[in-house]
Amino acid sequence: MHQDDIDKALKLGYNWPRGLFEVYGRDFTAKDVVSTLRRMSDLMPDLREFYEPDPALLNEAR
Amino acid sequence: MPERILMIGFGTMGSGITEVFAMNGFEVNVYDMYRDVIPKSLEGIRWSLNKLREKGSLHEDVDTIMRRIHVFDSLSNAAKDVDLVIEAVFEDPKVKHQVYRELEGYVRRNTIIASNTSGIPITYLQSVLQYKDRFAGFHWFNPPVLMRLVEVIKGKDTSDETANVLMDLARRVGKEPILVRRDVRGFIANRVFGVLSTQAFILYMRGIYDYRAIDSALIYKLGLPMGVFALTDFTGGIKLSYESRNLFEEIDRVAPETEPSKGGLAKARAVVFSLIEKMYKEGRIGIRTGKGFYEYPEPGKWVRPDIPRELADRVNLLDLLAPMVNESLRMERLGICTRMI
Repeated sequence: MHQDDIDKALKLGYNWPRGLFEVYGRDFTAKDVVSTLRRMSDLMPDLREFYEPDPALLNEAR
Repeated sequence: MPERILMIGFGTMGSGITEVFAMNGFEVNVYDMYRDVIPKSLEGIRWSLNKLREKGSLHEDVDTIMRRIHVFDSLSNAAKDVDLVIEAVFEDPKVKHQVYRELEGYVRRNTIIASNTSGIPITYLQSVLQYKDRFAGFHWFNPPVLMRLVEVIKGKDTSDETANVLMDLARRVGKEPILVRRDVRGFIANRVFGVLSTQAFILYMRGIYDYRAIDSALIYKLGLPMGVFALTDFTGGIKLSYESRNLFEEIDRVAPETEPSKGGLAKARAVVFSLIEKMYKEGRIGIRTGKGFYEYPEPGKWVRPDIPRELADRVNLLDLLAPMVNESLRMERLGICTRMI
């Protein structure tokens, strides 16, 4: 059983049918997330810091 | 394990939490300085218990449960011999601090004091207490009787023992608590959901997607009960956000360490705030005014907005979710929460 605080928070606090990591684990990879953040950053350079990939994400994408 | 509980503040959340404990066999003392709210809240609990009884999910009769709720006129009497105090008064640090100062004179050294705050840093709230280790955040979701999530939040000075007692207690009343190991803005649930809202607002404000398309994708691709924009209309989020701007300025000043994302989220929130301010000033605050992102037949009347399903196809779901995944991984890295795979 995949026990994740964030998934639990979204499913039980916000009535999501599946948690974020259940969706992420099934439909996307860390590399997809990094490239999406890079694209956002290029589209909106003033929000570059908001879209900066966290080291933990970069680590998963390696 | 606490046996007698004091609930301070008997509004929507305070009465809902009281109901949960009374249903589970706990004696609950209740105190609210605004006595006018008490009859209405008691009536609300009774109504809700009757509904649960009809559904067959109560094994006791309603009167037995109601008799476990004891209303007091003075805080000093209400606080006598309680093992746990849950505070759910108005979301204003000054008001809460005043309650804690008075309360600490009435309770035993080992009485736990917990706040149902949804957004004020726990470290800041506990700062006025003489014994800070006994204090933690205890954040419930509305309506408490139905929502299974409870967040237990450790402030800088909260002891492990205090947090553990609250985790066990939440489990004992049928909830699924999560431990927020570090006092961060929004705790866990509202923080990650807040990042999704922020990103949704930005994508709309920058003309990348229409808000209807975003809501459609969240509903039809992700299966959410409501999209971010419809939910904002529903909860009055524009008004809530606008009116809490001073509170968040105060938090940024007194507890800047509770925002670990450096400048990124703050910048994004500032961008979003410009739309919130504009909508607030135009009176587009949602259902209450009959107009928010969507239009409603008349002020105060909720109908589900008509959101075409086919709009969902225009949206790349990852554009909405990427910042949320990023923030979630950051939160795990910083030890705010855990993921066990």
